[in-house]
Amino acid sequence: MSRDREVVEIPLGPYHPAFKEPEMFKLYVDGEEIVDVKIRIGYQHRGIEYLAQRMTIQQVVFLVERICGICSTSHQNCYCQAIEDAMKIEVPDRARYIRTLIGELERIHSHLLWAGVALHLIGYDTLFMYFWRYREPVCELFEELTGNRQHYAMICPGGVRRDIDLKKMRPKILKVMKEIKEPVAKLADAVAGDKLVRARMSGVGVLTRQDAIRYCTVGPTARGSGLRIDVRADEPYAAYKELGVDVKVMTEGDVLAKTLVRVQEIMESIGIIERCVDAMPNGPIQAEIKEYPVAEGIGKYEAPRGEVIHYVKLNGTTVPERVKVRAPTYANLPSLVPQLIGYSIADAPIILGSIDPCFCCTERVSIVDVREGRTVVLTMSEFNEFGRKRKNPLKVR
Amino acid sequence: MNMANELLAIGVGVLYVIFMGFVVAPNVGLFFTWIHRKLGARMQWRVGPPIYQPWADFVKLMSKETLVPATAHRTVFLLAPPIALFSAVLAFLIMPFVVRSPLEFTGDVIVVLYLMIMPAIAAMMGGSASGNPYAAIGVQREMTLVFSYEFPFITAVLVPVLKAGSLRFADIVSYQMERGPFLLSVSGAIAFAVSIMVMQAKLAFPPFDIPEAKTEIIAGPYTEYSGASLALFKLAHATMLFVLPCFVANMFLGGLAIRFYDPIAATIDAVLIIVKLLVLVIVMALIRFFYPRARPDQAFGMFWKAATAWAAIALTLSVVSVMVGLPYL
Amino acid sequence: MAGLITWARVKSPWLFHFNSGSCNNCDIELVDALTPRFDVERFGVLLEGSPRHADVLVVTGIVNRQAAPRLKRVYEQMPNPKVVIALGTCATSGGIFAESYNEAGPVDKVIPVDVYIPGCPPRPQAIIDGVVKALAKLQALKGERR
Repeated sequence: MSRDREVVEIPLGPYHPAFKEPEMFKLYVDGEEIVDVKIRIGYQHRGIEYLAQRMTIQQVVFLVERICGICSTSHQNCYCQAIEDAMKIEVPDRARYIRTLIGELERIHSHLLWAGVALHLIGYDTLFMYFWRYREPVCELFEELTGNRQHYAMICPGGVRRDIDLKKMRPKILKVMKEIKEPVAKLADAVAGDKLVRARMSGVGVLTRQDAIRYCTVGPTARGSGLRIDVRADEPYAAYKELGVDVKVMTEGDVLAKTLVRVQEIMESIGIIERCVDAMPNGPIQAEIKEYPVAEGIGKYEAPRGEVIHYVKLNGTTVPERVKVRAPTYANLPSLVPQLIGYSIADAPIILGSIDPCFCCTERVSIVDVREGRTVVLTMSEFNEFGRKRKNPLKVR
Repeated sequence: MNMANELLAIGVGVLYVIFMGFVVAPNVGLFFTWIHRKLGARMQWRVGPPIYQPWADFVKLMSKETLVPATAHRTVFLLAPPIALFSAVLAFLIMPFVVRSPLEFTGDVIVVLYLMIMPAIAAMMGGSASGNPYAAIGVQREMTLVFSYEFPFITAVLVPVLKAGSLRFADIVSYQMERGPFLLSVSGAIAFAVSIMVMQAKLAFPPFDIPEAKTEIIAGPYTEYSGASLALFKLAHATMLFVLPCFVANMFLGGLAIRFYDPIAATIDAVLIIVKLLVLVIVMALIRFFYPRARPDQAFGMFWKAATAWAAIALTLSVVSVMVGLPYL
Repeated sequence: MAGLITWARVKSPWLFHFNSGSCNNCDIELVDALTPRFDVERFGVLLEGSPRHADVLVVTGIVNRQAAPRLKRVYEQMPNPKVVIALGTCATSGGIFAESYNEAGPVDKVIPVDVYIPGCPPRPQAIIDGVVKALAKLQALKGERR
């Protein structure tokens, strides 16, 4: 492997600041083919775990929600589950069902968002618009249920913060589900059968089952490679034991498989929501927190991107001693190495997109030409642009 | 007496150039860009911008600062946009539109072909002069794309030239007015199809928007441009959206002339001009919004292999048709 | 003439979006404004890829230490007249992350801000309203250096 060659970093253009920035992805390429990948993270770093140690347990609930905008309730849920595990609180039934409802609605919204973005990455802007159009009813439903389109702030340790007036909301919820069920299903079929889409997604970025296990991948990334793992089924929380989940799995492991897993999950979520709304019991929505023990707790939750784990350590006060968050993308990132190697640079953006990564578009991607010992540094959006146009950014003289 | 006539002719010519070049060409071009944006919006379940949008965009850009990057070659950077616009307008002025052009001459087809490449070359000049590597990448891609489509394009354009037996627009148009548009012959139809594909690439529309980005990302060769310079580039592009359909209409669809000597024929001609141009513009919009981007290797393959092959077939058929005397071939 | 230019500026606001370290919600709601439900292209709003092509700089996020110098750079690259919108509570004040050690913002500590759109995240309607207010400022600027 000619990585010992002298690598020259070429800072590109006036858009890049004068100092060198550590890059997020370093792709080592030989011609068009990716031969190795190095990943560095830390750009969205906002010091969340540090801040958590300076807030009360209740305040941290709102902090962790803002770890990620798209899977905000996943983090809230997970953290509260960790607290409940530590304090040995039992969540009332109705609260569990409401948590399920919110969680599944978020999964639908997240997968629709991702589908739009993925299609945008391969140049299908019309379909991007289409998918996001069907996201709107879900966002509006959230607003009616919780008061906000995103960052719903519904969950708290011990239960949920707000009740749902089922008499009023049940018909609305079912209406929205019906409204999006058929168009999304039809759209998914159209996309999966489209020749051009298949050409970009089928057989691309394959993650074999062994690699998926070796790299400890989670979520749809793992389920696209044949691993039947889903926290909702393996260690049911909220109301999943009663409602049941049909875990969607595909075996090919390519970008198309991961896409189809997510689409099928949308349909499954619609089903779960319909069952949840029908089966929701009456009762209290919040359990009382009676004391602040010295304890540790772990919460596990199946976010749209995979398994989230929160760990909390309580020391008898209202301020947590330590909060540790392991987000699913962190687990899935290393698996990008086998997914990228052997494929062309131009496929890289869609392969990166297929794990549904949760980082912003000002990330850096740098591409190292091992043959010529050159490095080219790009921002994520430029990198995606190369992917959409299937260009090789190294062909710059 | 002669002197007066000559002065009159020059005067009319100047008026023609000013009117057609400064009034008609850019404004119709801007209108066509609005058609594209509106159609695209409607196809995406959106409403789209109001009809004055392209003009608002142009005035806004003209009123902004033009920043020249320190790393740029200033003269070339600033000259590129006016060169692009001037070439597009001149190409239009040489072609017949409604009336015969006062600037016509034998061989004007070749000159117009060259002039229609100039906006792309100007973009490359400007991009290279920008001193910005993203622009350089865009330039590189533009160059490769231009090389791949010009050959089948010229081959396709040779079909009407051969059949009409002339390198003069006026002759090609009058031949079609007497004997029917070349679209109605086999070789003409094939060459027409190739031309549509090339038009799409010349305007950098999907599936061939390879050198320049559509919305949120890099702008390829235009990345460093701002203010009036950018406005001129965009105006040049809008003008090409008018010039290219005019070219294709002149070559294959029977031209855009009006027979003023007969009021009924004239009315039909006027309507046909509008129909021909609008159909071409709408076809390009439909292709643009229905297709994702092609990969460069796909695009180059399409032009070097498929388009060239079909254009060659069309050319061969047209040679046969001329030699053997079968106009429908 | 001045009236025509002002009219054109208000009718053709091109946005450049800069994420300086956010949870992405504000970014999503901004992109959402482009989608069929809100369709800001109706108002001539376009999301541009190059800061040189834009009139309005929309900043989301807390402006963490990596982003701060980049944000300044991008601001300087935009031609006048231009306005800056701080989108979201984080960009406006740092929000819940204000005490973080990685916080180099909020935005007005790094570049001048014309319009603040608070909200976590602000709704697309609020974003559109904020852009409209920014346009009013743009009208008054007439190409002066800031």
